[in-house]
Amino acid sequence: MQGSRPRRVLQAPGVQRGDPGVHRGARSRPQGARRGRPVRRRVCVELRWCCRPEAKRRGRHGSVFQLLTDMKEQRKESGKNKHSSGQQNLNTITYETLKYISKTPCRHQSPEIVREFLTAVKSHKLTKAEKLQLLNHRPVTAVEIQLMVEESEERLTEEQIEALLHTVTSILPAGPEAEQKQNTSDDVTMDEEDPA
Amino acid sequence: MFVLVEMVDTVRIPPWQFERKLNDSIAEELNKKLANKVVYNVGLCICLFDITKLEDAYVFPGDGASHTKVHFRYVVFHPFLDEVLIGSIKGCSPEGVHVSLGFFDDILIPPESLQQPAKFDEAEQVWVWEYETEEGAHDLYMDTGEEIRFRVVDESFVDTSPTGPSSADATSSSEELPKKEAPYTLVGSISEPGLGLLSWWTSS
Repeated sequence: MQGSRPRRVLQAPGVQRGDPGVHRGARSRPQGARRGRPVRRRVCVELRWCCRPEAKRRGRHGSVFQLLTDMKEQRKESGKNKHSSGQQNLNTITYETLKYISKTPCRHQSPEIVREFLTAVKSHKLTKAEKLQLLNHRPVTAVEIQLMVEESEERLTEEQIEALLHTVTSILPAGPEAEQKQNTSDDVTMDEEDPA
Repeated sequence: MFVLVEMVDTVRIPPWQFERKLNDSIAEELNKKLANKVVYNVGLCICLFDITKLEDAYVFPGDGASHTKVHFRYVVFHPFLDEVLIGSIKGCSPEGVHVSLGFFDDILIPPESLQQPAKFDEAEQVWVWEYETEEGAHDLYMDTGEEIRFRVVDESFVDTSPTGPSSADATSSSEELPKKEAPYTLVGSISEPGLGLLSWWTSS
């Protein structure tokens, strides 16, 4: 049985056909339903509706990667015409963003890994922004840590920086470049063993 | 780098889409409207995250479509100030180094924010960091396609919505087309240890 959600369609209260501004037979456009402006890439969309800038939440690369991959799978399965002009923008931005994130170490992150990492660094008292950057970039040297953590010389001793580096490299999975390097070095050792 | 922004909008669903599930039609319409577009003072919209609330749908006289007020959250690209990002060099010009993230291109690192001392090589059209050591000066080139780590120091939004015809000037029609400005630009800096080309700082 088609369980389509019953659409509650009501007449807008108080609007009659003879009212000024409501043209008989013409397509009336009520307030607030103006469409965004045309299709050139990255045009400023007209903001007739409200957006609450204070109601923002920062998202990790990993979660965006997961969202976009899931969305892509869903759209592939539904088999809708992805090539209609309206979807072209979505396709472009999804493809480019996925390409960017898959080059970073975030592609293998899962919520469990993130949780483990956050509990491990609790003792260092880092701000949210610093933890987010550590998750997104997975620094491997002390220089990179100093970039991401503000005033790291005053807040962290050398041992703490080493400990933080160790936590990062042990808990967070490595990026695709590091994996590639590991593969080639494995190949080299195998070749050396062969003649023996 | 990405933020979730809560927004409210009225979505119009035309009658020939009434057989589809409302949530799917609304998601498609929102993505059609916002994906890959810059919203002034918010950022570059990527894709819909979820729909938090759907209010009643109304049909207005003269228009058979339904209009639904939707509260939703959208994934937006908006790096915070002083965030460190990794991009690739798109090119160099006397204005500075142009960096791209793939999905976002309008990032500029002005000459004063490069690792000093830096000079612009006119012949190869590339910026060079003259790194001094005891052995002498090494020239480190910032070639196109190289991965570069930079810090976001400034952002600017420009309202590129079309303006109405100006009634003042009768000769305004003979003017050339206005310059195409990018609606959202970032200014970066690499003048700190650890920033710059990734190859400069990796210890092999």
